[in-house]
Amino acid sequence: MTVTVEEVTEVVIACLAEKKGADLDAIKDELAAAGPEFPYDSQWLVSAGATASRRLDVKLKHAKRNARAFRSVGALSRYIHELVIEREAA
Amino acid sequence: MRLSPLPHPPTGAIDVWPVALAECTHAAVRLLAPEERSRADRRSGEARRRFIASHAALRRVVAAYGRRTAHAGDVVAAYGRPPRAGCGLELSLTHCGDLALVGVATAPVGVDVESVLADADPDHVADLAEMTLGDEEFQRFRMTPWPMQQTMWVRLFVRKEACLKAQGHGLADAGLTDIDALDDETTERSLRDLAIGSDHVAAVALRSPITAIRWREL
Repeated sequence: MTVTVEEVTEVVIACLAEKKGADLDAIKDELAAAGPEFPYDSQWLVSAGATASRRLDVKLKHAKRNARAFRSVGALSRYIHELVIEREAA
Repeated sequence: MRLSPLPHPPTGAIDVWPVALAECTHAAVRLLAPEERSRADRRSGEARRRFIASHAALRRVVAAYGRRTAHAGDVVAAYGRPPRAGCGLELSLTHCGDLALVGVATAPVGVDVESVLADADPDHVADLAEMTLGDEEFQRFRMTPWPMQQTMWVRLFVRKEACLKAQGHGLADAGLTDIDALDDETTERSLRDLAIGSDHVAAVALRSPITAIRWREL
């Protein structure tokens, strides 16, 4: 049974908190205050994305076609979720 | 105190202004445009202080060239876009910790600084490299022994970021893997590493051939 987008989002947020050395609940509060898509600094999302990709066993590429995925936790989570689905379908 | 304004950098020259952000007064926030104050207010603690200090430094740099730094918004640094000085000067701002760099030129310019990865996990650096490097860059990365891979990746990353900024893009607008960071010169831009001490790695890009890099002090 594949992971859901919500579960991927939890992984991304956990990775973000880990990379920032921040409290998980504090990061969640910060994201909730930023908006429903959880927009965040792209540099941190690059770092969190790299960690999340290893944990979910997918390969992310910061290429033009998916650069927008690094605009928010929501977009990044959906991008990673698509890769998980592709991997499981292969 | 500077008594006479600096001339604009000549064609191809980049003025680089390193700024220590450790000191930030309450007065500095008054230099920011309303949009920047809103962005500052979304931050807290050190992040807020550094944001205010770096954007205030941007205005002080612009003032050095004879432009007024009234807080009404001569210089507006919109998120992900290069700040505009409106006087023939192109600007780029970057900061890492308490070090900021401001690049000033008369062509679109981009500058980026990152800290040298301390105690980095080799797997994490490898993941970052695979995610952000083009094919040739990644091949060279894999041929480089650890721990030199750390510095190599950070150097390529700041070169890519500098190129993105010179193009007026942010990380969410264009792909890092699509940017050639190995060559100093392409038809679209010129790229140079900046010597900024052993704790940081920095680079500057210009959308015209670079003829000189001049270090300035506030």
